[in-house]
Amino acid sequence: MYEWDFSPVFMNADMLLSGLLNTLKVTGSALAFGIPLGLALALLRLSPRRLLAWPAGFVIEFFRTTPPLVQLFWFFFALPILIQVEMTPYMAATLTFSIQSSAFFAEVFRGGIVSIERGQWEGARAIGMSDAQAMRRIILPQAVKRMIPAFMERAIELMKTTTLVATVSYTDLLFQANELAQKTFRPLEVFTVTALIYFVFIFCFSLLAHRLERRLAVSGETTVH
Amino acid sequence: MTMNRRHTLTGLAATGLGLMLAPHALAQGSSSLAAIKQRRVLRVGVTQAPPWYSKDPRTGEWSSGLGVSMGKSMANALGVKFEAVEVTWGTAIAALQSNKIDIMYMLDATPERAQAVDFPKAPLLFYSLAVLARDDLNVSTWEDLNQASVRIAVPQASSMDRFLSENVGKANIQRFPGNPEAIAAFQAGRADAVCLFHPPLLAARQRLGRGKIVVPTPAQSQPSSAAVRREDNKDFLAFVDDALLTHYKSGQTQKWYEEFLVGFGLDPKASPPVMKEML
Amino acid sequence: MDYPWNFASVFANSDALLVGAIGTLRIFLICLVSGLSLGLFVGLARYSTRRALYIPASAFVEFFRNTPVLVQILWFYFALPMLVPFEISPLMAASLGISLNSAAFSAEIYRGGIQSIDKGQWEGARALGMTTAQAMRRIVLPQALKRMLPAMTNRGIEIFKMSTLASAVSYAEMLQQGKLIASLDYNPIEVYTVIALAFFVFLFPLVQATYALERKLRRSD
Repeated sequence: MYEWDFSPVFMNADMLLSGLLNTLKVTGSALAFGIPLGLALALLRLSPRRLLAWPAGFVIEFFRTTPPLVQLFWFFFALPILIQVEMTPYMAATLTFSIQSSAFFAEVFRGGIVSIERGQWEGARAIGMSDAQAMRRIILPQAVKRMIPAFMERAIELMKTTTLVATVSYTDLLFQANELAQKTFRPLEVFTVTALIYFVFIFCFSLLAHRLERRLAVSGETTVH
Repeated sequence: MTMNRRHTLTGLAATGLGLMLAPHALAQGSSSLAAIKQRRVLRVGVTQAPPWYSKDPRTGEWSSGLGVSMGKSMANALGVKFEAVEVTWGTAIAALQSNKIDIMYMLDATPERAQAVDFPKAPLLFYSLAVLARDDLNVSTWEDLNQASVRIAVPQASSMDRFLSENVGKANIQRFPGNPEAIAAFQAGRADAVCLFHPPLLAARQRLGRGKIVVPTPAQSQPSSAAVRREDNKDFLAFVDDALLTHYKSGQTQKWYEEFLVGFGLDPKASPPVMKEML
Repeated sequence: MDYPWNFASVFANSDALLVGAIGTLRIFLICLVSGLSLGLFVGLARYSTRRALYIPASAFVEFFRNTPVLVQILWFYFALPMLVPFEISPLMAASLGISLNSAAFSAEIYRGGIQSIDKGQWEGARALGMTTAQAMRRIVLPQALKRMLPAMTNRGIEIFKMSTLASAVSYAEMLQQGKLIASLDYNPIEVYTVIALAFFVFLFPLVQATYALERKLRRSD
């Protein structure tokens, strides 16, 4: 029988807790930057002017198609050599995941905006609104409501993706788990507890997301597929 | 709680219980030496860390390094094959405990490690703790590095990590999975200095072309060792102890080290030796 | 940027990168096949009314969808060996993590696809005297599979990208080879740029094919 011994884990719970906080920190920051950036990319992509739409399209496709870990390594080890700017691991991680998630958010925005039927646009133009005004006052508010389930899904994905930062010295939960496993020589207990922490956190978050989705469905404003 | 969630939790609890009752992987009272001879393979822990271990990216073979040479030699002496199993400095101990590897060279005998695995008495070699720092960084003592504004890259859970954490605690220590990542952090300017032992820094400095190698005072010159699994039967430990002593005394260890330097393009005469007596 | 780009050093290591590409393809195929086939069984179990099938399948899906793949890979590589008497290689650990994760996601795709088939199809099949199993196999699944194709291709692309996570346990796929080359030649910019472009060039046509499939499906429905 393997002799389970969770005591080293519990004695160092504060290490794991600080890691969890850092995970939330980088996820939160990436969301805070990624969502507006995604909106900007989506609007550029929808622009009738090719000069704007094509580069935006390329950025979106590039960051959706390349693996996040490759992006992370590039931003961590390659970018600082190119643009002699000092970035802490937190900054580099936030930069990577803001851009990476913005590409996905851009597609969510675009899908939501495009799904609003033409009638809304025509109605807005009939009252004399410009395209920009129509977008801001009529289309976007309706689109955002529909996109909330997809947003929540993306946010959950992001929280899972940020575990990659553990491989580049940012002290998130997984990094702390590695640290603890290597110092206590108890990888089984440490990684089991860590997996459970991630599970409980993300599971609860997705429960909340589902509840929100159901409430939206009741009010008739969703495109659950 | 909805039915779905309750079912999920039931299923998970059942799985957890099942894992708890799983049989233990290792049999206590085993003998590594016998197992190695029976398996006809000596599994040596390796990690990308020239001059100790280096992988040829084209063939995937762990083809050069002092640890590789020593491992092959010990395998030969036992009449078995040499097999390289990739680990990291931080996971080597767990790898020994879970019977993934039989031995790993270049693991220093720290007190924490000595509680979990066995180390032979004979030293493997001697080396000094050093840093590869930015040319414009003012560093001649460890205390110079002990400031919050200094960012030092180091491999996680290595003996360098341990030393820095205890003695240079105020610095901004960034821990990476292994030697290459720590050096890459220095190369990218993410760290002002990378802390390894002198020989790996020589190799890095040679290829990188910039930075200065400094052995901060008080100089930390210490022996390195090799770790083997802790068990009641000490035959393998005795074999390793004997082999290390022989190779050291005969100068073979120093020769393997010089072989690597030459292959890497470094002049052995310009590099500090790994034998205390030659210093 | 006055950085002296040196792509020649990367291409001098093209054999090493080729080894990486083969490694990526190998783990991709292993995880694609096992993930999607296990996903089918789990998806069917999720659709079943028998609790003995439904409960474990649900637990499986919820657990593997709500934990990060990297954590799973590390668990299989570092934690599982303490419990089992056999070796777990980097390929095994990474494949387990990615396959189980993909199985959980594809199980939901299967379930959604099956559920989207009109009840009339089931009734028609039963009217012809088929059992539920036969109806599933001959009538419902073939139609459902067609509908699930875009989501499945998407999953396939995700699996391909996830192959890079295997580098965390030193499996010799593209990124891991890149790390090694960069550590020997000190050219991280060129190496990681080439690898990113390689992934993009390889996956972009597949992504476009997925869009085309989605469009065709929307039209034919």
